[in-house]
Amino acid sequence: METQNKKVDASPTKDFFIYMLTRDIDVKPAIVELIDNSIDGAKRTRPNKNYNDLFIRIEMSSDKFIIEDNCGGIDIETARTYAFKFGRPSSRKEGTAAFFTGIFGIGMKRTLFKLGNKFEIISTTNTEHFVLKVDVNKWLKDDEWNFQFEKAETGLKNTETGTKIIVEDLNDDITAKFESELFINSLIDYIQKYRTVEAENGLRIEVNGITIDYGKEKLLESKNIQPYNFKIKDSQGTITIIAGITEKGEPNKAGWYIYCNGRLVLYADKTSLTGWGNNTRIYHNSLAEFRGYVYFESKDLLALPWNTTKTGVDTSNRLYIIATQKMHEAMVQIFKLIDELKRKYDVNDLKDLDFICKAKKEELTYSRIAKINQNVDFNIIEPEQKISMTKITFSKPTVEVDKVKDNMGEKTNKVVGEKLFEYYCEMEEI
Amino acid sequence: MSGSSVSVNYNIRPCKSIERRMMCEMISRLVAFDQICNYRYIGMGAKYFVDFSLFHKEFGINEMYSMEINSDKKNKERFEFNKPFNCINMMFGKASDILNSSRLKWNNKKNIIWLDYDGGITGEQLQDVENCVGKVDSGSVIFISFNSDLGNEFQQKSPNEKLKMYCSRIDNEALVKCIKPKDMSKEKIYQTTNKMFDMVVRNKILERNRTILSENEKYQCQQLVYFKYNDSKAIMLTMGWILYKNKDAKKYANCNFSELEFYNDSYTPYDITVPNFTYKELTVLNRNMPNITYPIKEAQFLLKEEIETYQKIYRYYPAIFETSVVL
Repeated sequence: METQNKKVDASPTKDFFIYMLTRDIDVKPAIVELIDNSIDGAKRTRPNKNYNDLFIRIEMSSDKFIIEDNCGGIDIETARTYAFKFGRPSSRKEGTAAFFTGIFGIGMKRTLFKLGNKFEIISTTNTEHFVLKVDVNKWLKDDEWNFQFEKAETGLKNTETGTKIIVEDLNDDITAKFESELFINSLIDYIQKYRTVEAENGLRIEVNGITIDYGKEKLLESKNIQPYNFKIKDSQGTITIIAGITEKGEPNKAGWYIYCNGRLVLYADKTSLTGWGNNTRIYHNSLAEFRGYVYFESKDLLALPWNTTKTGVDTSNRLYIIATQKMHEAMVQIFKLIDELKRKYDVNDLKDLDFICKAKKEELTYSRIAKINQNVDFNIIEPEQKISMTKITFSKPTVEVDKVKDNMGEKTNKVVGEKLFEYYCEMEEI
Repeated sequence: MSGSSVSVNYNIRPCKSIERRMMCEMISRLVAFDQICNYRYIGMGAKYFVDFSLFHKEFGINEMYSMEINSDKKNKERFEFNKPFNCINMMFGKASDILNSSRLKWNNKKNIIWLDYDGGITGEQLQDVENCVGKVDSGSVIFISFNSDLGNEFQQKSPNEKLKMYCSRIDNEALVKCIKPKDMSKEKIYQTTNKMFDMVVRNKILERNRTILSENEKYQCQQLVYFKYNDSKAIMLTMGWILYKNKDAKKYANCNFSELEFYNDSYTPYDITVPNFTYKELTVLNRNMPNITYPIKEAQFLLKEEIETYQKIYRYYPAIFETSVVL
């Protein structure tokens, strides 16, 4: 007999948002999500991109987490219909034309649930002010999905605007982390790495009173060294690729850096996500000088290749597929020249080559990247040819080598070897 | 370890000797946890094994491990030959490799560990301490000694370059995140160095506690000593911590470590200084200890501050300088 009731329950549960989704994101990227929200506020209030007097302050201790900004605040309508809604309605369109990072409608809530059981949001815009308090355990028992404003005022004339979020009754694992100074340091390091270009325009971010400074990425660029530049203007957005070498091979910094609307989503990636090993070499420390940067920009936030935690890329994204073809091209060009140079001059590090060591380093500022408008291949023009060199290696008993070293007053085997060769040449008058 | 075997005989370094005796006094208080003879000693005895002899004779500890990096055949034979007691087990290899392996069993063992390095601070030393903090049982103590000098090259550098050099030695981005060039100044660097260890130790305890369900079984850690002394041209630093479970808090309190003159839970090191006295002067001074009345009749020429320095350490001052003959 066929049943009459054909309905199948597919409605979400609150537990899903509180206990499940929070597992998908680590604490550090979760906190960066809140910073992203504040930055979106800055973009909204300052279309001219001058953020000189704007700040985002984070205070964290074993019992409390506070993030406070003066980046414009959230208006009551946005709070009521969008900011606290789980998931972004597809109909939602941003009012202004800026490159935002808030897209999935999950970041802030997921972070707050991840951190603790009680949170309070106080926000002030030019004309409005609201206070919203949530006790997660109480809310969990409630059948309703709504939160309640504690206070909501309109028609004000506020001079200072901004948002403050306080999380209390922190989860145990969070307390343990916030107690550790080492964790705070690593958070600062993380924010530094995942910094956005907004910091260049004066936005100040502080963690427990420490202002985060931003060491900018640098690439070698000189009359001898030309980084790979590529710009693609697509109907869905713009892709800018710049790749090349640094003078010092630092394995933990080598790889691809992927940005979406100024937000870094992949840091120094050396995996197949960015094409390593797909018809190119897999990463090896002999390629530690390689750096590549890809900047995706779009006002259609769904067109960008980020995942929901913004800690990785969606490799099936159309813009990303377009970019990977060019990324591959850049890798092949750069690997070939790194290999050739190292082989030819018999060096392990490019910095041992004088012209590399002395080459100018260009900072990858936002304005610098914006200026890229023609496509150029990676190239290294070697300076006037030096005499070609041959490496000789040989082994001798350590005791004897030590005696020779002692006699020469030299410390390294390399110099001992060179001196021995010179000695022979001089004695034999070669 | 390697260098010290060649260059330094630790026996004839008075400050080191005083430090060892101070540590002995501290260790004797661990009796609140267990008989000291039930503890295990893990150290780096070099070929003199001075600390091993001291702890074996003083406390009857007879499970002892000496970690030794010189492991070629000749050296192995030599260390085995020099072992003063057969309860000392030689463990050849790098301390970090040994501590990070299953060669030492850690179950329910109370340990006295003394990682006594030759060179200046390195990331590896921090990892070794971290490793021990992650493994030892309640009532264990961990000490680490190393040279505070980072060489002439370091001294001659600008504050910025010093910072770079220091950071590359530590080799841990998060640890050195907040240190500034001014933290490299002559005195400040001792605080900075302590801070590095402090952060690692605290973080490891929090991490370890995250894996323990019962509140009573969770650990606390307390810095007990931070010594600095100048011996045979090098400035040496020693730090030490005790780990104990919440349920053993009373035992810890009974140790009363804080009443020891040299107990130090701060970032600033406690200076062990040895004033220069002749044996004749020492005899007079000792007769007037511990309750001195100034001036000391028989030796009025002695300065009050000299005497005060001596008063702090006289109980630990070697009456005779030990020789390297250990029997």
